[in-house]
Amino acid sequence: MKKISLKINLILTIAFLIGIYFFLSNVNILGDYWSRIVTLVAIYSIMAVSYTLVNGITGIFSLGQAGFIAIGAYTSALLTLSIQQKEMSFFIQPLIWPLNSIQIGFLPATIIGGLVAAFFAFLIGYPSLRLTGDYFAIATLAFAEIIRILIQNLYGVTNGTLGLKGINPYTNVWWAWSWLLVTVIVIGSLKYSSYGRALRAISEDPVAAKVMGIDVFRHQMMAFVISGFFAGVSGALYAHWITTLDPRPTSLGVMLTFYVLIMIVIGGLGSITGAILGAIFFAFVSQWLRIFESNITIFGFTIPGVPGMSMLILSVLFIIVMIFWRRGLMGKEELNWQKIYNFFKKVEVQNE
Amino acid sequence: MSENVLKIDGMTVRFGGLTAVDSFSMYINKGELIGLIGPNGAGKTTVFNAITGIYKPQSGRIFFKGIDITGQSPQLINQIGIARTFQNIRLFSDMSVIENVMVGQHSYFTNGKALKFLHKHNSEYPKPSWKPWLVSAILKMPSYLKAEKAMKDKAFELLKRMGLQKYADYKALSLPYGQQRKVEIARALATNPSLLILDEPAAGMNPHESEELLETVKEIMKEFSLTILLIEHDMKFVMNLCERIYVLDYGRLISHGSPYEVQNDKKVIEAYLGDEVYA
Repeated sequence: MKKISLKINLILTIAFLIGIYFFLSNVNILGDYWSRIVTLVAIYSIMAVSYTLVNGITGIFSLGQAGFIAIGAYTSALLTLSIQQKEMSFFIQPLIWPLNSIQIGFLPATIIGGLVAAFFAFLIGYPSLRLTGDYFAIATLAFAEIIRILIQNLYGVTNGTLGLKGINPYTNVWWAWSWLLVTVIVIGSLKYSSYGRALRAISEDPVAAKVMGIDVFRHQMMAFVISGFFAGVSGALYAHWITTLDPRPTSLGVMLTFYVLIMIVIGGLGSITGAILGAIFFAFVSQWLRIFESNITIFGFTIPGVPGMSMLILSVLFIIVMIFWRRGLMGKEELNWQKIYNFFKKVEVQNE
Repeated sequence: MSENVLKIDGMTVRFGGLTAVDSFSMYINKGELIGLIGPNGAGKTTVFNAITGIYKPQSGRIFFKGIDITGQSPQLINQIGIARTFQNIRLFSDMSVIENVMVGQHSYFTNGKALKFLHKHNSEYPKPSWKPWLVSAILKMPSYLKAEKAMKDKAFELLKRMGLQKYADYKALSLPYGQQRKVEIARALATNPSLLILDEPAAGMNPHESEELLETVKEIMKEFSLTILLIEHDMKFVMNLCERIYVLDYGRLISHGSPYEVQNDKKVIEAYLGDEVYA
């Protein structure tokens, strides 16, 4: 099969980015609902790409992603809410100083949200990265749950179960997709560097990596903190997309971690493009499956809608994907033009 | 300062009630090629694991170039100059051969701790200077790209040295067993060691291959001015190659000397063949 040269690769990539640009600038044609979904796709993609850095590339099984997303969401939302809105929302217990008297722009709030999440990633990573395998997964799962329960009970900071309302809907298509571009560039550049090689070595054989002079703990911590930062950013974008936050398990709790886990497993653990494909798959399929939750009439028979039916069907789909693509759609590889070319060539050969 | 590259003083390693290595002592001078032999389960690999920091000895001291390295982490021990291969090959199977070798060079970016350790014990070593390598790696800055290119060139050079250049882009696991062993040696050499520890380098090789490896080991030893410590079951290999041999049995040192002395030591024959030889 023909090999695609670097030049053509570059041209195709630029053309692809321009194509995305035109798609995004004309996304309004799809209507308000679908353009919101296109934004959500980017937010999910940031969650998935940052998660795959830890779970896929570094090979440590974390279940704490939702905790970092929640921290980023709450931090940024508390920073961008107007002072009047804060006074209105916090009627059980007033918001503590200095949060009650500041309001900053969206971009700095997003970055601060990411940094606070990264700081918490450091705090939780320091003790729990000494654990391995399932123990680490359980420790991070517990951590995410602790974060959620803290949010639920710290009325003076998070407004507890009443949640935050009236968050400015700053997140549009451009914010979300620009942050996705930054995420992909940073994590992609990290994956294809000496550090990325070290992370992949750690995921395959930590003992051999140690003996080759790699400080396993520090590298895992680095991946965990960078992942935490982008998880926080995605949380900030999510908060300003959905405009209300509350600490239910189904919104910013353990369910969210599992959603993101589904995305990266479908896409292929360790693949950045795979994570994005998984996020697209998840965002669209979970929207389409909503029809099963309302009443459906087929040939005069009415099937009553069952709440939660879409999740049931999604899990069946998930199992099917796992049967046919055992390592996810992409495995550990990245999608590139060569692969697409080879794929179409193969289809062409089969048709002849 | 002593001339010893490695010196072990009464090292004991216990696993629960089992004493795997019992007050073991040895020394290796610069430029020597030393063999460590013994029947199965004698504790040879445990000695290697203790030297490279994977196990922490319960008592005794390990000195590398006169610096106490007992209880230090494996990565630090590697970065100050001890590299090893494994008995059961431990390559990074999903990565290409050249990537495997380049992993060995990664500590170039992250050896601050090791340099600090060396400087603390011996002020002849330069003081480390901190560079933001991670940031320049992500932003792909010129200084990083230059280092990366130098790494790739050196990795390719090492593969060429081991006769593996045509396999550079193959997945490590797709190579035949003997070649995988060579990749492991190349990967260990990539970490710039002054002491190379080989754990059964000729295991699973046919006589022709092991002969070839014997030559290669001799050559790289000269070329990289290495000191080598190896475990091997192939007696022809050990007797031809090693200047001195240590013999372990049940975790105890039972004999030590030149190949000729060891071969004729009654204790060694007993350990290998039992205490009475039926002809």
